[in-house]
Amino acid sequence: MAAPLYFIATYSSSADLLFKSRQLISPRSHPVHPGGLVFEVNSRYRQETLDRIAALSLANLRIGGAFTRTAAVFAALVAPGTILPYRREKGFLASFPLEHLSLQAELPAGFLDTLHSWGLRTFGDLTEIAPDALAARMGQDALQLRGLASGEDVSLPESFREDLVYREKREFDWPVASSEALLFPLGEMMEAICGRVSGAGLAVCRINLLLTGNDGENLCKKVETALPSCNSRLLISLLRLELEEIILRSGIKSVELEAFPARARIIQHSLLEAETLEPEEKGLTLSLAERSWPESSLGIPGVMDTHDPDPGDCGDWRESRLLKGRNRNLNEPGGDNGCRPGYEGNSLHLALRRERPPRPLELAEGEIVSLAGPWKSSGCWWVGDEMRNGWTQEEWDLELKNGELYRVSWNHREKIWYLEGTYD
Amino acid sequence: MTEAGRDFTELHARSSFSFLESSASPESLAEEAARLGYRSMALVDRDGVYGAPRFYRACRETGVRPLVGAEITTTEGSLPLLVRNREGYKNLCRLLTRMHLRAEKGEARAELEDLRDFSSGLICLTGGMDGPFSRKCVGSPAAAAFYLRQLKGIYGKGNLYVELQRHFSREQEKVNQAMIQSAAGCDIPLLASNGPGYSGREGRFLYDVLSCIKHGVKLDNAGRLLSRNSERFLKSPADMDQVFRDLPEAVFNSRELAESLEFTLRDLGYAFPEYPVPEGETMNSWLRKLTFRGAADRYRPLHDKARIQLEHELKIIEKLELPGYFLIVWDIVQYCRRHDILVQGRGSAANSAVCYSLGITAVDPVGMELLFERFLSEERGEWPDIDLDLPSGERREQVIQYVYRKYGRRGAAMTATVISYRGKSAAREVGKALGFSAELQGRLSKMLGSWSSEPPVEAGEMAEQVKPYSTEQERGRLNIFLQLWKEIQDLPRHIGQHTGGMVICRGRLDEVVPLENARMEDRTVVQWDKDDCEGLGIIKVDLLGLGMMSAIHDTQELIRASGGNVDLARIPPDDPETYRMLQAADTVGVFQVESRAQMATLPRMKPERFYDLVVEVGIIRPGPISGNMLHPYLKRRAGLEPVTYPHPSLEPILKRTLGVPIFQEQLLRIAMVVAGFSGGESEQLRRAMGFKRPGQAMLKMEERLRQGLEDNDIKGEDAETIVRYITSFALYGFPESHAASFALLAYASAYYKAHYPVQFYTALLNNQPMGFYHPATLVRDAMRHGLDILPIDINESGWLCTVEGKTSIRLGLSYVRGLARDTGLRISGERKRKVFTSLEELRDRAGLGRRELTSLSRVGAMESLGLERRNALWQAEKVSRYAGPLLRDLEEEEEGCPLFEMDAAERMSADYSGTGLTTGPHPLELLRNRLSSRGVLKAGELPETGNGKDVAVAGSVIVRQRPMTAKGFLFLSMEDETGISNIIIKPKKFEQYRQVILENAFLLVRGELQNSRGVVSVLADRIESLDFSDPGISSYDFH
Repeated sequence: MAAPLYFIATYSSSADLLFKSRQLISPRSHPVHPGGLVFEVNSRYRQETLDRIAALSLANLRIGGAFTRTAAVFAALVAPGTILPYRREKGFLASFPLEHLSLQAELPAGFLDTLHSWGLRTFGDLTEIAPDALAARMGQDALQLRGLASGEDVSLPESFREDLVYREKREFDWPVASSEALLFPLGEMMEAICGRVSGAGLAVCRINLLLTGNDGENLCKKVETALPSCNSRLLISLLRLELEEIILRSGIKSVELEAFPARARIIQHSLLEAETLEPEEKGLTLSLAERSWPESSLGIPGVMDTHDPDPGDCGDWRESRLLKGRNRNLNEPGGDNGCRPGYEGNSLHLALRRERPPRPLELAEGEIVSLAGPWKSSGCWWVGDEMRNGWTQEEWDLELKNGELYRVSWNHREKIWYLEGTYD
Repeated sequence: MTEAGRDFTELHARSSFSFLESSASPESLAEEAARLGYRSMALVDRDGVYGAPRFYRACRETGVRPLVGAEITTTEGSLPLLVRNREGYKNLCRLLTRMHLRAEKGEARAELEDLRDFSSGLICLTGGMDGPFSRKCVGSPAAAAFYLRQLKGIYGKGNLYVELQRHFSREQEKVNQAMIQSAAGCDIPLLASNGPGYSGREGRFLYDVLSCIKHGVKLDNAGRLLSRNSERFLKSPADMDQVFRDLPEAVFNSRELAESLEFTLRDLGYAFPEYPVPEGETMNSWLRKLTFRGAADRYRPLHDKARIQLEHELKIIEKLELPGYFLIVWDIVQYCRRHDILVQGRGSAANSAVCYSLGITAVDPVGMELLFERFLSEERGEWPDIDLDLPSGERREQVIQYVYRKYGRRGAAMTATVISYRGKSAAREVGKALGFSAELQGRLSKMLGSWSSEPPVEAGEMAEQVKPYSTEQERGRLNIFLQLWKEIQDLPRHIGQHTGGMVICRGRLDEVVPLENARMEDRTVVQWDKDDCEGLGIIKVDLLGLGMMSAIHDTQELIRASGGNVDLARIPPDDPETYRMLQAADTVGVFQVESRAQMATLPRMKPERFYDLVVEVGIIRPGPISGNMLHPYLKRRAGLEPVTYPHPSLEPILKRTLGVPIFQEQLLRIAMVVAGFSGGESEQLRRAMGFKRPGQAMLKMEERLRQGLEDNDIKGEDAETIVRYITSFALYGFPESHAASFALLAYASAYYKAHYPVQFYTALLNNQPMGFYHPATLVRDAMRHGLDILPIDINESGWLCTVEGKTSIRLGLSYVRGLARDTGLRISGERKRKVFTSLEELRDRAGLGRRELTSLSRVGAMESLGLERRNALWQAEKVSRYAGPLLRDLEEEEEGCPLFEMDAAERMSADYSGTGLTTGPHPLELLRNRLSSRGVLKAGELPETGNGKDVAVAGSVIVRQRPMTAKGFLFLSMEDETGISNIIIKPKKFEQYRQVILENAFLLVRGELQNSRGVVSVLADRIESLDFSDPGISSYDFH
């Protein structure tokens, strides 16, 4: 007769090492909540397995062993170091407070309250209740929990779920020297990957390009797409930009592509929809822009939600910042005067060429045919420790003899006129 | 233009009663208008005339003519309406009433049809940038013109103006130009306004904060929800002339229109309802008849002193044309009598022999020598104030609904209460707007919670204190925070319903003041608070709910049910047993004298007659305690200090209170006797001196006082002594009439406790929450008085507690936590039909679910089914589970309940968690052996222990108190199985043991015993928590 299975539950603060090394310890292991591993071994190899685990020198190791998975986990979590002999599970667990059941199961609402009102406090108290009587009062969930309290394995173990990665690899007979030449095999590989990915109803959101040089040098480039895509041409274009930056001392001996999938974008096309650029291609444009200008000069212009007369803002291109900071209904009335936000844009028919920064201006009397103003605005009075802080602006619109229209402002502090802009 | 800067009148000002749309109080607007030289100004608040009375009062003082209007929220935007005449005011009120009564709070909207129905006598302005007309002007000039013609059709030519505002905004001006064109096309005159939302330019900051509160945003991301600039303040007429120099007609029209508006709140048109009298009678003659009829019953026989007083009062009532008011209050009292609802007038009305004769009050003011002028006088020029105490709850509601029925849904309403920003709420809201973290907001509101005008610390110090909980940016804004916090104080947040104030009106009340829905069903509320109503001559009657009235009513019912009959009139006046109990401070549950402070005074006061009780009720108040009246009185009463008087002429007045002035009426009499004041004048003196800030009125009264003293030949040092005497206690005195009314209830409740304890405690338990103590304490007290408190049982208990036999009280199902009233009534109703014999039967007949069955099982309510608590819980889980048709009839093979029975501690814990009290042993009883071995005394042993001895005492904390008058001292009341022990904790000790004291339900205190003249307390030295798991005992803290 085969020796029974033995379970060793293991928890450690170096969980990464534990998970990576699990195959070295036992070919059969299961993840358990919270962040532990249970090794399933033939009971004859119990000590050997324990030795292997010990050899890993894991930090904060909590370990427990029993002939059921459930008891092993309780042992590791509640009484680390406990290695239970055969059929001692129930006795070992009997003194555990009922609250410990939550270590291995989600307790139904009111479950503990009911048991406490019955005067039950420990696993042992619960297991004393006849299963039928318990089920008649608290249902099947309670039976499962009673099983846990007895140390029984009441559910199937979880299995590992590996990250899904699509890979293609080529090894060349002779080193490839130029990036242009590399694009041919990359194109084929990408097409193959895109075929597989789209076949699974997914799209590519990240690509790792791994290059191995003839001299053994390794290089890795990561490309993230603006939107998940299965357009192999587009993805190759992005790779091409990366390849342009790579300088290898020797030719390339092998190339590998790793594609990470994401859920594909679902588009509801409409007859009334204007034809626009494929959104995926924005990623390409942005990548090109990033290579052309320094980071400080890149961004998306937006209109700030403020009364500030020149509310320019340059936001991160990754964020949509058309309205800075807050998302609200543009039709709701504004502060005191009920002016609708965005109203300025609608109301002005004249285009204004702004001076940035405004430049000092000499105004000659007699030149001005008509003027309108002052248009006053102020804000941010709460910034700083005094209410007098913040900004104020007093603007005028001027029409000169020659028919030109200007927007000027008067700086009270400096006693200077500034040209803010010219109306077209 | 007639004169530079004199043409403009502001007709669209908003006050803080536009709730979050203005930072200016009505008073500040009136003051600023006067300063700027306005002759008149209109207050046009959002959807109401909430601020109109205050604006009216302030304008009367500053000489500005207060015009009335409201900004109506319509389905298309806001339209300001101005009142031209009385008819217009009526229409405005009815329009607002219709809008509010058909909508949820804050959702009132008017349709064009509503405007049409109530248009007469009103002037319509098209409003500012949020008005529907300006919006239409931007979108479609044709739609704007159409809308203008619609409004013209509603209000008529000459009653519609296109309103222009100029706040130096380019966009606003563009809209203005479109509006001017449209107005010209429709032949509608222009009118200039500035739509002020704050009185001075600096008001913009708070205005922005209010915008943030309104929209639920922070200043940092409010963007264009904030003001563009600071131009929306009340500008001077000259400034407005300048701003509209290109449109002088718009400015001129504002003045011309203002001059044509006839109406102010002076012409309110309120009249108190006439009381219907029998044919051949006038209200005066009928009141006289009723009064003397009642007096003949009250005074047996009606003696001359009473007759003279009644004649005097009736003469004044007649002169002030108030007989209708007295008859209406009498009518309410009669209704109560007919429907067996206890009612008693309190407050200054108890000074009136007419009220006493009519049965409105219960204290004989002639016998008690109370002063009528404290209630009513010719000089006061105010309406009298009669407050009626009624049993709280359903019976009070019954009376309120009677008043609604009698005077109509549109003829009566509750007065409002204005809820304002105060320390805590102000700190939280301002902090939120400034972007402070929730934790910092909490810290600041805690820090500033009890300060309503001046912060206790400067910004710098505050920054230090909150350093661990704040960022540098937040600390940088603390200065601004404090400034805004001060400014927002007392600004109204919303209006609520006054606890009992009702106003009634001859004809339609909704033509006098707009009505709104109250939160409670079948209640309406006016837009003004009681002071506003009083200021405008609207009479109110306070119908106040008093838990003790309900308890007394129930006690009497229970006595009647057991064959007795001791209603209030039959209670013997000087019952020795009652006074013995009061002297021993055995007053848990007794009205007004059950608090720790009262209990500590009673053994020293040793009340022997009713007036002692009046003093007892009046003296344990913050006023008399702060005025240092308590200790001199007690010393004199104990003979430890001689009884002296500041002047021999004061002896007759102060003799009853042993030379110590306690009551306001005494002040009035002093002024009458020594300075020749009339009753009305002396009441004016009291009021003038009662103001914390002395004003002109007080200086005038003081002058008059000195003159009166001189006329009576009291001069020099004597006169100064009396003036000082009067001024010093004017702030602190308590109304004697009020104390007398309350003392009557205190005596009655003490009498019932002494002679009918079963009925009295049952009634107390059925009227919780009320009084000073938790029901658990009342139950313990009842048990100490030899009563059996029987546990809840489904086959014995009703919904309420009931009397069983001569000395037992059965707890009612109402004490089972989580059991709904309907369910409880169903159980008791079914039980009356036939007793329950099983859980299944209970489930089916009373329709109980799992929650109810387990709640009842846990507290032992299934004992009569033969089910111990655990067994009942075990069965309850099964019977409450749906079995389905297949398994329903399946027999379960079980060997009974496998659970252990609850032990004493478990039963106690289940009782406390399931009902909040226990009928079993006191928790301390379970610890007694252990405590005794540590030398801990029982509360009942303390009176027998010598003064000054070091003692230890333990108990469950039932009350924690830190009164304002106690200079930081904390008082604890701790209960054990033998009684209540009082603990005094000095401020330093409190700081040392703060956490232990506040976080533990059971304490052990060691300290020095203070046992003197029947007052026993322990001055705490060491305090520790008792090693006892908290079974869920509740205490009444800082109550």
